[in-house]
Amino acid sequence: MKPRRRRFFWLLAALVLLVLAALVKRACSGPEASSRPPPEFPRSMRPAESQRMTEREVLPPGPRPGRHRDPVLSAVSAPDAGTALVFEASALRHSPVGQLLLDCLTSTAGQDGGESPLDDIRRLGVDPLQDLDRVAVGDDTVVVSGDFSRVQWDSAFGAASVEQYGDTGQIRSFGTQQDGGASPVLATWGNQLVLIAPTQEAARATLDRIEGRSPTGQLLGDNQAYGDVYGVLSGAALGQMLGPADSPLAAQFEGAARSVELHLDATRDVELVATVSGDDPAQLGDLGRALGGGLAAARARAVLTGDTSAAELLEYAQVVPGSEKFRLEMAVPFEVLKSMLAFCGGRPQFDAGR
Amino acid sequence: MKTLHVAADLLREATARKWFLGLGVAITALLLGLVGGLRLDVVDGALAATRLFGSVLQASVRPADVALRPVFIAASYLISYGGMAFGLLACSDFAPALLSPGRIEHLLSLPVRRWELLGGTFLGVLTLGLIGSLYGAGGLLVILGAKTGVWNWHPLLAAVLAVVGFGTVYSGMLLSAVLVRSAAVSAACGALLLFAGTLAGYRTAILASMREGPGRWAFAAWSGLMPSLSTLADAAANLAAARPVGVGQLGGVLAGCGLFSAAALALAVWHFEGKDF
Repeated sequence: MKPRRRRFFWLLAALVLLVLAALVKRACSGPEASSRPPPEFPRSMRPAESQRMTEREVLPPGPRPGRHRDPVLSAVSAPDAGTALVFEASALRHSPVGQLLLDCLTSTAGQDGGESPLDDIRRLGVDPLQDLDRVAVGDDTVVVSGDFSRVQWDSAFGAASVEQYGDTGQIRSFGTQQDGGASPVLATWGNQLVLIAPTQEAARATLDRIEGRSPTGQLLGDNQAYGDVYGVLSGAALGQMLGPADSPLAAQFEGAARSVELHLDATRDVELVATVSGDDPAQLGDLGRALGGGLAAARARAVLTGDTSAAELLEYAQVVPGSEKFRLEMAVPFEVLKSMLAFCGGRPQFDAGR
Repeated sequence: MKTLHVAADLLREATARKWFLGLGVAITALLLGLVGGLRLDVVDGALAATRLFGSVLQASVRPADVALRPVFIAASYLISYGGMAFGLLACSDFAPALLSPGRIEHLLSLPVRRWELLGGTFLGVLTLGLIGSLYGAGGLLVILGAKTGVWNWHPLLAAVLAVVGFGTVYSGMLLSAVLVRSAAVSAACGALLLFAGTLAGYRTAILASMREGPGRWAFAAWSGLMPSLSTLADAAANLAAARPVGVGQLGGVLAGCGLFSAAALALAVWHFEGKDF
């Protein structure tokens, strides 16, 4: 090749390569892959939750120590209570996960050809999807808040006796059970609160706390009412939930944890923050390390076995130690829950927007 | 083969320079500092605490590989951008020295073609970059692997990607050195290319924030030609952290960088072939 022609070849090659580089860049640029936003753990009350809390206060403002102004928190906050757990039913129902569960429930009922379980409740005069606001569970009391103005209590439940109590309370008793024990009583407070208590005395005490006639315990304070599920469980109660009493983890929980404060957010994914408190820092530290190690081992196992969903589930898990307590944080991606509920068969109509 | 000889000559020249001796000492000192000062408490694969020279850096308990991700990401960005910044300073006078009067006449009197001289210089610089980045990334992963039991080999891949990015910058430096035989101009050209390549990676976001007009059009045209160096650095960081990387997009960026480098080298050869010495 002559030097002049060879030189021209290099120039031509340069131009062709430059054009090719631009074309490749243009072809592969496309929409940039959006990375998953990091989970937003419910670690403190956000402005919207603070406003929600304020709107729920029914008792007049003023210096009333030992009294909640939110009736649901008052109801589950007996002075000696060890457990209080609140589910924000309305928020959960409108969350991506709530919608997913609802789709699953309705599609399962549709496949069976029968009615949805929700239809039974609707016959009572309550639409669970529209009328329920919160469901709270105390040591021995279950409280449901919402709009119950259309419920015909007497015809629906056939109570043995009805007692008017306090300003707007009613307590319905149902006689005795087949084994001779007393049936739980059903109490209402106006049209906005229904509670199930083991005895009439317990129902009266609950109504007294709601209407401000007796002090409430401080197990679950107003400033702890954030997230879509929140509350405080005793270590023993959580240990029982985690497994049989002789399981090592349950035993370790019962021994080390005095109480566990939970906050769960389902706005986008499902994010859980659990603050475990205890009296013995050494035992608590061991429990935190055991939990962290267990989560890491489970994630490593999931990665090794190719279980990407579980690996992703455990990706954001961490234990943050503190003095006399530690915080456990876990997130479950929406996509993981969606794939877990794929067995429903019905096609979920809702998409979280990702 | 002659290209490899030229590259080997350049490596021999580099070993005699204090820049590279300093880089080697700095990387080694950093790694030895980590060996002695970094304490990682690992319980069942979970990193329970991290202490650097006695100070607690992190106390949360989480899977060791997840907890170490920020370290690998930071190391990857350091290798990508730090390596490029160091490389454009330390390697800026290789090509001007090659073309210096007396030396170039001697080289051209040897049975070696002009394109082999440039190709060998480019290959030698690339090898230097590869040795440095693999030494840094490899040392880091060996130290962290030995301390935690978590062996993440992805930082080595990230180091290779960083070298591809540096190769793109150096091809522009080589072209400028052939056009104007000056180490300062070569370094300035490299710096400009690094800046332009970083902006080009955020092209879509920048274009979205610009109003219609000649300025936007000019930026779109110009950034369309530039290699996406920041995209490559981001991909290297994601790879180092064992996070998913879009294979198609990464392949496109790599191909774009490779083609841009080849185009710059071809232009350099075109100009070099027409020069009289």
